[in-house]
Amino acid sequence: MRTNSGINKRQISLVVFVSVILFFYIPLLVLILYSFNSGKTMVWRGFSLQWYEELFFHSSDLWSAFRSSLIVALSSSFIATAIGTIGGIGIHWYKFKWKKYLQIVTYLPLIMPEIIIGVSLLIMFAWLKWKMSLFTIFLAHTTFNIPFVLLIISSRLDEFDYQIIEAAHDLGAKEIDTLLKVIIPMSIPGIISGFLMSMTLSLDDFVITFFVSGPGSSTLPLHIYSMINRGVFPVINALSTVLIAGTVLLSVSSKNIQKYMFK
Amino acid sequence: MKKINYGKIYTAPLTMWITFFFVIPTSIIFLYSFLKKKLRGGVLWEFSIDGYTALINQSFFKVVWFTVVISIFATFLTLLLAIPTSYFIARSKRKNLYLFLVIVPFWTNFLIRIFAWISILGNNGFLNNMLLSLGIIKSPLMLLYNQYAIIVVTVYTYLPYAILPLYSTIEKFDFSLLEAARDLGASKLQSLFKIFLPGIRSGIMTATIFTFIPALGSYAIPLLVGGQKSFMIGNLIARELKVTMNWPLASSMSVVLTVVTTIGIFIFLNTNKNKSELKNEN
Amino acid sequence: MKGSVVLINDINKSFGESRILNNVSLEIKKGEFFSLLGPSGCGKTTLLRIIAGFETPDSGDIKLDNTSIINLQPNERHVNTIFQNYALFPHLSVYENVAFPLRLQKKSEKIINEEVRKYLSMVKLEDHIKKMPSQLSGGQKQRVSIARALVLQPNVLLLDEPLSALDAKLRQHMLIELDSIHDQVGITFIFVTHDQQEALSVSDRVAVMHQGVVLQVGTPSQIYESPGNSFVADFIGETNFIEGTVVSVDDKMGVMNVDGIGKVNFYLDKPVKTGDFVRVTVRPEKIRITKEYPKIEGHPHTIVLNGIVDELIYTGFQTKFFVHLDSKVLFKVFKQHVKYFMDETPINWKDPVYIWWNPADGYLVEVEPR
Repeated sequence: MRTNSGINKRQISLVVFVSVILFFYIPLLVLILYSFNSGKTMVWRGFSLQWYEELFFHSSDLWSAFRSSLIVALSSSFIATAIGTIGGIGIHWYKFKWKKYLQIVTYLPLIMPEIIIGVSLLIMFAWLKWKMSLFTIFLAHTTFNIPFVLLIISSRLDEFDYQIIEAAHDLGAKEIDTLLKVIIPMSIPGIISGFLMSMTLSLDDFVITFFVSGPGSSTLPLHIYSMINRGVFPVINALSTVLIAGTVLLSVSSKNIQKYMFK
Repeated sequence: MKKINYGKIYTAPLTMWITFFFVIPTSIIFLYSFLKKKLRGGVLWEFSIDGYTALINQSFFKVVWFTVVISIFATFLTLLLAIPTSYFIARSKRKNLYLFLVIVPFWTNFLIRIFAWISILGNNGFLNNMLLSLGIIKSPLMLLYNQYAIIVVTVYTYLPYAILPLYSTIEKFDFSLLEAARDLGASKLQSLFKIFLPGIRSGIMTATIFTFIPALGSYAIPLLVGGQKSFMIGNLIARELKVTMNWPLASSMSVVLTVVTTIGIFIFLNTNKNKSELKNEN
Repeated sequence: MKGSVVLINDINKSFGESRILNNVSLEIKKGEFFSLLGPSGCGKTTLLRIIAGFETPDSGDIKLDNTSIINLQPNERHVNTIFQNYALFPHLSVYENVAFPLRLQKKSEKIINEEVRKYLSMVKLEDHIKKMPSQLSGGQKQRVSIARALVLQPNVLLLDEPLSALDAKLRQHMLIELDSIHDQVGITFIFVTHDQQEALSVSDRVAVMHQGVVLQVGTPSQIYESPGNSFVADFIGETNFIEGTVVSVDDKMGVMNVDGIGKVNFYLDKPVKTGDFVRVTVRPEKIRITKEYPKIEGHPHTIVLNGIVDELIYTGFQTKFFVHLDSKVLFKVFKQHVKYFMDETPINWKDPVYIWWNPADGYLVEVEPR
């Protein structure tokens, strides 16, 4: 069949794919490997768990930053999911004045550079003389999470025909019944993935948080940043390993949960 | 018949939130860029175009140019890697496993991903130590704190964001079109450039936007792996805001960054539209 | 007697510039199986949605047993709809889908259980109660939606092209089942379809619609045999049109002069005078086709023409012939095979043939006085 010489698409794409996977994982594997190094530098000095001991028992600042991150992530994801879900339903299935503009404006934060959102919120909070705290971080995170929730919710709603809503009305449902007993239950997979997406984005965010945080309101990424600046590398290695393990565990389990719930 | 407009009720919280925490703040930046600076941050309420005249100098242009060039390079490299990778995943039998392999670095903490490269490329990093111990080099190479490091880390960071939308487009692509093209006399390269790439246009577009825009607005990557000379616009803005405390200048720079981003998207969408005018939208 | 009289009075509806419904009035009888038939875009679905309450007409009124329902919300009308794409709630099981309207009415668990089971067994889905909609076939989904719409015991059931998403065989089957469900529940059915076969086979009466206007209302045989105009004649089944100027009229028969054919006899279904322009429809199965000249003694009005077979399509129970006359005028003739195929003289492609029909089997659809 193959009369032409040379390499074909499949081989090229295989080579690129393998290189990309190596490119992705070598840095992560190096981190994991050196988290077990007994030396302080990137020279191998033998196996040790001392950095894990340091991480788990002598890094109270880090864990309080982690706790702050969790608080911000949970609260901002919760609010963003609530606002985004109900707003997404309104945009998707109803007609009203200014709808088009609302749609455009709500998606703008997605394509604006993050730093603009951070800087603009910092300037506004300063103008209002609001003290930078976990609360301002919560406000900022909710703001950048909302468009993602909207995006996920509306792609979920796309799967349904408007006839379903008409059917609900036809069968005697009032507006509130339709919302609570049909639209929201039907969107649950979207709501869950919107919430998980928000959690991830919030836990991951560095740039915007950097601008709207104040003294004493450190999140995990901010803390990691200060650790990188202070050069406490081996503890970051240990932390990275824990975080990567957590990521893998979460992705596997969330995949299985989704498989179980929405086959 | 519908007396109450539920659409407005449902979108009310959304409208309010986006107005207070996005529309108003970004408008404030625009406003501030036309005011006079106060010494220790903040502004004086006097009209002034100082914020913009201060931009007209070679060093700022250089930073803008540097930012744009780095972003274009990083985007190009990302696409170059992402398209074949997504193609491979979409055509393979173990899509889920391979996608999972892409998603893990995607979910891994952003700063950890940057840090991983610091510990590899640093003067005392993994690579230098390897090369030294193998005797390939005599003294550590300066691999970090330059524009190449910025590009590598940017590609590393945004590659998953490019692969995922490309994958979902390629998966829907009808590969029998390629066979049809070959059957009708197209060479392999012709069928690649005239059928396949235009066919996955929307995926390429999304991938480009997901890479190019964050790259233009980079702050953390140049901060951590770029050197003194490799400042990007984001870093300048942060410096004016937090160190020099010249808020009108920080604001005007933000306006410029927004404008550059918008122009970038616009040019990109436009060239793409022209190219595909004769093709059917999916 | 269950069901309601539905009175549709002078309904008008426009979407922007385009007029969808134009002074539509209909009276649908209690317990009738009534079809709205027409090509897509004729306004039949819009009319149905106005009855259901999903659309508001620009003017006009809808009455159910003499009570206007035009200002009621869909959830306040004793009218339920079967949707084209089933519109099952994807997050609810078969049982819960059917129970949904009863739960809204806060019925007791015992009543819900009885009613749901009753209607699910009516549509023969007792064995699938716990399944989710995604686990059902198209036909099963449609049954669930029928049970769900009937569980509230509406006075009128609206069916919006309910069979169009099913394959041909299943469609036949569901049609018979719909008919038997109609017999069981006895309520008024209003059935929207673009498929004339469906409409003719189950309806008590059919309204043919075109471009927002009701062209004809009648029983299936009236619609087929005595079409109101040439659009109806052409839309329902297949037909041949013969048109010409009337040259003479006697008691029951007229004679017209047809271009390319000559004098043709026709039955006076409507009064005409000499000089009028008339159009007659003759269904292809009413035209006979033979290789020999037919024996027509005692039938002096029979029209006999000769032509050549252009094309023939064998479909098993019948053969469709396309015959052209010397003058290139084309006729469709369907020959039913009532004998084993060896017993008939075969007619082949390019054979010269005679085609003939009795003028009483045609129908005078249109008269244009001159």
